[in-house]
Amino acid sequence: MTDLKIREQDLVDNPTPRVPICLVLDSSYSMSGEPIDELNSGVELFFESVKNDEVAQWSAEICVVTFGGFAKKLLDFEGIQNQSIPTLSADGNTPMDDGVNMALDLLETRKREYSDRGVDYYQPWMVLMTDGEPTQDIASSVYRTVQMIDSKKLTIFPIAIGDGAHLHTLEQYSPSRKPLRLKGLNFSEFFEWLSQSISRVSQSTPGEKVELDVDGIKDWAVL
Amino acid sequence: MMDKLFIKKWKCAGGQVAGLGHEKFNIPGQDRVAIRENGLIKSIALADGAGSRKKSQIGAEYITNSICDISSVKFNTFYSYSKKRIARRYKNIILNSLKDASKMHSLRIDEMSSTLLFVVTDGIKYIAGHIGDGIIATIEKGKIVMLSEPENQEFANVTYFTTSPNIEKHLRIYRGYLKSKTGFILMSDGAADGLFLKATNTFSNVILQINDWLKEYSSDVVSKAIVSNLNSTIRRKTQDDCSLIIISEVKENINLLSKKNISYLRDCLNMTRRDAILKRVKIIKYLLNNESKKGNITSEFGLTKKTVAKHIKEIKNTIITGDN
Repeated sequence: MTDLKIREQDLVDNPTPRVPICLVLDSSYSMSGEPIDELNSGVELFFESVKNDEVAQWSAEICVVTFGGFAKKLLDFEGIQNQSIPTLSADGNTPMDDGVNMALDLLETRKREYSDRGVDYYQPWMVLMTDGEPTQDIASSVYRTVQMIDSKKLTIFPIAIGDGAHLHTLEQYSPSRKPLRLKGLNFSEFFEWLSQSISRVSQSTPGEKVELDVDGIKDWAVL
Repeated sequence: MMDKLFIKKWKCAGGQVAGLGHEKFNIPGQDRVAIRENGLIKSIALADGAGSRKKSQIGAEYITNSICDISSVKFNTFYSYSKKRIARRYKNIILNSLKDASKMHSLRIDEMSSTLLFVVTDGIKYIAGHIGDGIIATIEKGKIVMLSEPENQEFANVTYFTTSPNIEKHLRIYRGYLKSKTGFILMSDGAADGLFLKATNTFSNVILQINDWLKEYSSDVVSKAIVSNLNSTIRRKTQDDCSLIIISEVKENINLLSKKNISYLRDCLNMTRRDAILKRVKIIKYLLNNESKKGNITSEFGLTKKTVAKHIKEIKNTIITGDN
């Protein structure tokens, strides 16, 4: 009689659905000293947390764009196992519009690559962190971002660093989610919360509304 | 001639298991499957409850049962309708079923959202329906062929459900004569993660393997094996709940019937009583060896003419000629 067991090697392997996350980080001169050091520690902790999460490590794909003097793609999307943790340095003015536009372009390119390769993906995330005012007109990036948010194509987390950042600027990017001000330089607490949120998304199934840890926000944000 | 006689039967088997992700967060499995057999009409249905709706498994249970119950009685009537009218009928079945569930369990209808896949066949023609993700495939000439693809929106955790607005736009109906189709498989998106390779649009041969189980074992045994394998192997490819149903045409050479075990014969001959099954097999064997002496069956077996006529009628309904 035939054995009624299926062998795992006879099943197929589909790529894990991806969560593309773009960190869009202010690296202007005003971030020099302790702020950029703490931001670098937070980013390092974020990468390590995601790498150590048994689900998120296969799902999360991180891209880092900085805006300090000019917009720069510090790290492109790739499986986190293949990525080196980037180091940010502070210099220059605050070209936020260029930074956000670059991030949106990178997200669109990555989504096209996923579609071409038959890889499923979750709604992309953008984390926008700044400690000051932009030194250019931000209308074009605001328009693009809001359009994507309104058509449910993007989730944004706008974070103000210190008292120099005006929440009003960040509010323009985020019509539905109020921007939050980081508590001091609690970057590590924020990135820990972010990695846990990504883990929840990575395990969500169709029809599931991912509930973020609202309680956990008070560890890193001024509420 | 007798060695080319077969009993043809459509057999169904299937089951569901909770996903590893659901177990981790202590959420019950939200997939449900249903199977109904009403003479020659077989109905199968599968529903994958929406993740965010805590009671979606209740909706999944109600609609799969309703779809199968009503389809097994109304199949021929529905088949005579246009596709659009068939869709309207099934939409009403879904809505009425969810209203019943809502009353019984004091839930809002939208709390019981799910996807839906179903197939009904009488062995000659079929109707299939699909809302949302998951896959309906057929078996044709030894190959697995896509019948209905998942309908996802852009993101991995977004699809259409029984309670989505404009459900009539997203309820896909298929119908026709079976022709060379000898089987249908319904799988939830969780099961499809290990059984369907998206990059190349190809299926794992595990599906044909499961199909072959039905040629040797009873439906009950195969259903248990499906659940066991979903649990031990298939669900390891995903965090999601997994469910799978198969309905397949099985042809059994009449000469080999007496070699089969009772649970297989119960399934094959669609009979329940052991003594009746054994008598049927003896009558078939007698007819094979004594075709010219059909009239002697009443004395040979001590049966009334009426009983013999009933046996012969049922044997004729299930026997076909052809090569194996």
